[in-house]
Amino acid sequence: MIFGLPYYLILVLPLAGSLLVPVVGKFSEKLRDWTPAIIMGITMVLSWSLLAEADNPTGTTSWVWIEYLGINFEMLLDPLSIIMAVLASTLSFLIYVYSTEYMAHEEDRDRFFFLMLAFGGGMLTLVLSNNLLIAFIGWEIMGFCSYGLIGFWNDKRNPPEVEPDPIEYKNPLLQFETEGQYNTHSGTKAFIVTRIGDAFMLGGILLLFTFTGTFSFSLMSENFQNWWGVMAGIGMLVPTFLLIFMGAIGKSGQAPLQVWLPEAMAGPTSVSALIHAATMVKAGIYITARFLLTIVSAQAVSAGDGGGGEHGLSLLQLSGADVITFFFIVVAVIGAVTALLTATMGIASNELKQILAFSTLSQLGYMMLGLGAAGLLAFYGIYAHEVLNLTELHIAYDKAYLSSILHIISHGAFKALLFLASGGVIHAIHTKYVSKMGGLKKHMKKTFAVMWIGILALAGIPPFSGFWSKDSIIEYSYELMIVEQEITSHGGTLFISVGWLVFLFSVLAAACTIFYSFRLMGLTFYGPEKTEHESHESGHHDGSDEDDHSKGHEEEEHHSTPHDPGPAMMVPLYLLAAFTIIAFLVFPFIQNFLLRTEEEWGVILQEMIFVKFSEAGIVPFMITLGALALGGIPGYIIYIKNADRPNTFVPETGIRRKVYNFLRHRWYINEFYYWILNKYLNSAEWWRVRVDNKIIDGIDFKSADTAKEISRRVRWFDDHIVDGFAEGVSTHSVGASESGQAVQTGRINDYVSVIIFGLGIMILVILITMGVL
Amino acid sequence: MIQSNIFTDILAAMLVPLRDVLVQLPADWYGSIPVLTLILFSILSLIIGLRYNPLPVSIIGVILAILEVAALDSSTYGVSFGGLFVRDAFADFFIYLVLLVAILVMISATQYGGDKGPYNFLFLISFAGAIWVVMATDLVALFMAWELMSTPTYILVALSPDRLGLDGATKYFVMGLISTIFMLFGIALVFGALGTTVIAEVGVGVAAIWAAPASLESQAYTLLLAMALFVIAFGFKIGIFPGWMWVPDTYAAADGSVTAYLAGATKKTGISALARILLVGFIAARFEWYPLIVVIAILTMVIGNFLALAQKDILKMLAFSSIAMMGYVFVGFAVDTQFAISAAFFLAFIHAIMKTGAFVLVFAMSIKLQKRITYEQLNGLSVRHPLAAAFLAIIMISLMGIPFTAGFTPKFVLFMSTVEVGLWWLGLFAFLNVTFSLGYYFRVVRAMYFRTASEEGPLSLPRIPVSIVGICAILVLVLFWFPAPITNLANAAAALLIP
Repeated sequence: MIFGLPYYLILVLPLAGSLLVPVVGKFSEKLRDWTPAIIMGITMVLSWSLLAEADNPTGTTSWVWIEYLGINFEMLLDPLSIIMAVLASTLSFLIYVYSTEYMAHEEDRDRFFFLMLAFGGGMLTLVLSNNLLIAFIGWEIMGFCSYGLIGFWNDKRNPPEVEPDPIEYKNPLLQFETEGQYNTHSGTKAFIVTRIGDAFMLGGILLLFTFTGTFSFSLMSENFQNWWGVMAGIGMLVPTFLLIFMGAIGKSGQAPLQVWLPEAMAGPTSVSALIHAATMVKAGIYITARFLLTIVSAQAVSAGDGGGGEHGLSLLQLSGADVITFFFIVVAVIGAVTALLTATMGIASNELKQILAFSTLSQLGYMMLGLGAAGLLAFYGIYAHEVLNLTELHIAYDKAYLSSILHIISHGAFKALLFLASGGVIHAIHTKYVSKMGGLKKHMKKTFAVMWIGILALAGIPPFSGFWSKDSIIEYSYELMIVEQEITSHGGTLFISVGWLVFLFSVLAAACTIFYSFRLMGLTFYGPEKTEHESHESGHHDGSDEDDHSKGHEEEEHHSTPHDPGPAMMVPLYLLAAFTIIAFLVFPFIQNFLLRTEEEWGVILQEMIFVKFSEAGIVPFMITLGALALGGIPGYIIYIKNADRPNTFVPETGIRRKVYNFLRHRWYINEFYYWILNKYLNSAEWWRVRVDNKIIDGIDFKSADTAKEISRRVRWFDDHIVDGFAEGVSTHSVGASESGQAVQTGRINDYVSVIIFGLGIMILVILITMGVL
Repeated sequence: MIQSNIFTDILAAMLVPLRDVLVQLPADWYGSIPVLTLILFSILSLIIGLRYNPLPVSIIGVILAILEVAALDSSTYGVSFGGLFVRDAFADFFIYLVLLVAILVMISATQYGGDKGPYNFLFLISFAGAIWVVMATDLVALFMAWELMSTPTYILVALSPDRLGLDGATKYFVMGLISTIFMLFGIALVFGALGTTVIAEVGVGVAAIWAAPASLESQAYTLLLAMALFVIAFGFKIGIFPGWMWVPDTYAAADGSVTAYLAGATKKTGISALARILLVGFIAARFEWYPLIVVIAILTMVIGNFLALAQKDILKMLAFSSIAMMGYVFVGFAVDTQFAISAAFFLAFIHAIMKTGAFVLVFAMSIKLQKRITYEQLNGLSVRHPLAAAFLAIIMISLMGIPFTAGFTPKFVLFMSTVEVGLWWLGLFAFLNVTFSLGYYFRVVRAMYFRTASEEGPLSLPRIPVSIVGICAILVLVLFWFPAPITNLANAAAALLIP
């Protein structure tokens, strides 16, 4: 690495640095706020320097952790890891810089910045570790930090902001008296829902370890022959990978565990940005991509070319290549379903950040879909080539994988941009509901501009970054459909053909995306001003510009007209916006880096553009454009062009209102989970009260009490039967000495008898095991 | 990473002059030189203690003993007194453990307010006995060393600053007496059946009897009775079923340093003695003693955890929790593979560090506040004394067995090893117990960090206990990432017992 520094510094710095944050806070508040940014800045430089070394890492650092289980700590420095590390560290850095200003007036920043930095460190641990177990530890660090950060404002005593046109929830679990309660609930919910996935994942990891005998990714690919066949033979292959994928579903908010992310908005905006753009939700995508690589590269080794290929292929063919396609079908379908499902939810949401959360879920669905399609294409490719001898059919799975990773990058940038910008908006006008916003175009010109850039990228409008990556994912889902047709038309059999489904879903999701993106912009920035900001004498000249709301102005700030935030918040926004615009110029480099090719920059760029108009690419491209028009034109007309008129798109009754309500309730999935939880708690309560109050002291949260109760009873035995006599005397102590003596005589007899009794039991045990009794 | 070889090489080079001096002594003493040093310094402390504070002398003695252990390579200079006491890899592991606890205890003993001469004398004598216990290869030598170690601790417990100490000491003494009787009886039975008391020869004899069970049935029963007696006799010191009951009374009554020594060191010598007897002497009878150990492990875990949960007194809670912890160690014995044994030893080592720190700190608090420490007294400690709270929290987290603290690693390996030999249900049971134990460890953390203090203002604690718990906390953190020095020793020790 740069200056010959050891590689592990990249994760040790933020993790250890996070512990420093409270210490620094003792000396200087300002320095403390900047500590995460500084440490992550250094880490970022180190991560960038890795880019030069992906070809021949000069020794992956390792230290032996548990020698006799062969658990070593190794850094994994392949292109995927390095790209993820660069992305995570860079975005974290920008977000930490933003936080210095955004959080400047909050209490308890020790905790905040500690958790933020540890969060980034957890992500770096995950992506750079070659060891599944240590990666899982990083995964759990993130889980814990997300819990702490989402519920960060746990102390707000004011009642939660009333949503205009609120949904009435009858469920007692969804009633919150204070904002702090709501925030804590959201944090706990995120923790528990992701924990469901994690529990499955840990099971999967241990299963995998049982068969592979290693936690190391690279050893897993190397010893591929040793475990793949065995696991496939007893049918454990798909269950194991599905278990691990459950973890990814939880973390990346895929259906059906998508419910936690919309509520995760309760935390400060920089937290949302960190969770959505740089860390946490990308973890699930990363781990799926990592297993895709492990499986596919191993398959490439064993399928090989030349003479060895035959053997390797037959091995795979016999045992599991067709089974593993089932795994990728699940990945692709879950991705596609999530993409569409959450995009429709986004249409009706009323919270600024929640709309963005739904868009994140939807984009994550695209990434999963891209990975699933890549896996499927890879195995269909082998199937077509080796079994059906369709040598003329050219199937490139790696481009599908590439487009998924590119989408991680472009999404990371534009979603960070959108969140940070909307954080500025919420900061300025003190409401989180879009229906209370409006007309901000005039007051927050800079935020308005960068927000548009982010929105266009999110919607997938060329030439912004989102277009290139999302459109190519759609393209590869189209190719999947074509390949499936080819294979079936040449007499091949497929497990199930899903190409048309994922293609249809991804196109529809694109239409929904552009619709809600325009709705977001229209409601927030266009139309008449809805909140009554009393802009009075605060000496604040109509903050057309930044920077004058520094520390001294806390009080006035709350009464001023909305205005753009200061430089620490704006500079990261400019950087992200710039990247979003010029991303397509950068993508060729990333492609070369990720696929280890050495093509000319111009050639790839040309290819990227012309593939849209090529014979294979024109159909999906045109369909996508059609979908964009389908969603974009109504969105523009309703929410931007007619923004100044009252919105009558959704009437009070009728089918539109019903659809709207259905979407507002998020397909009732979330409420359904709560309903089940509530029913469970009620029945547990009923059981506790009616059935078994005496013996089992309640099943729900009371189990700890039960244990205590039993313990107390055992203790009672210990106290009264065993040391009873003496204890009695000593509590009514006459004098220390006498009671001491009494204690000795009384209790020791009993102690001794217990020993003798124990000896008897032991002899009995021996006799029983020897078969005498 | 860190090239630890360089450091060890430098250290070894620095110790060469010391070794050159030591080898001038009679060759028959070599293995026991650290013990003899401790005995010499104990007498010196007693004499100096008549007029002055003997603490520096005692600490020098312990440090000298440590240096001697490091200087004299056990493979070359291990044997002493005609093979009665032998330093091998197994003994070395426990010697380092005992001496680590010893130095921490001696530092913490500066807090003791009573007559320091006898106090230090007794401590050093007991250290010497403890080292001999782990070195003994003969049952009679083991018995003598055991008494040399135990007798001073009875008095040390009685020297507690408050009168309760007498109560604790008496219980401890009577129980110790009974276990001694059992031990003697066991030795006599072994000698009667086999005609030898050398543990290795006992192993050979047992194997011979087990090879021809039919004709030698009565001897087999005699030996099994002896084995059960040994388990009780040594188990009493470890605090396992059925001899656990003195533990909370005595631990809560004795001086903090003494409790730390009892929990940290003498407990572990019991483990080492049992390991030698079971794994060397009675290895042929493995299938007879393993169900016994399973039953003991289960009962010990359950008793420890259940009783710990109901405790309000932190010292007693810690005492019960170390009972539970010994149950986990015995899971390792029940599994009886090299991995499991080495993990059990590693757990014993980590446990020594954690408990030393915890006992010293809590006792210092109880002296300071002049009352028993319950959860209420710990409320808001994070505000009143942030450093102590942080250290205690680290130790509690380690006791829970949560990653990033050394408590996690051995438990993890232990549970993996139960699966390996098909005792997964035992592993699962132990895991459930660990989960259960979160209940009372977490209460400590919760009290310190999430409760507000009943009394305002900072709590000033003496520096020495806080720094000792600090050392322990840092060790616990460091040993998670770099367990190699200890695991290597533990592996070597286990490899010696189970080749």
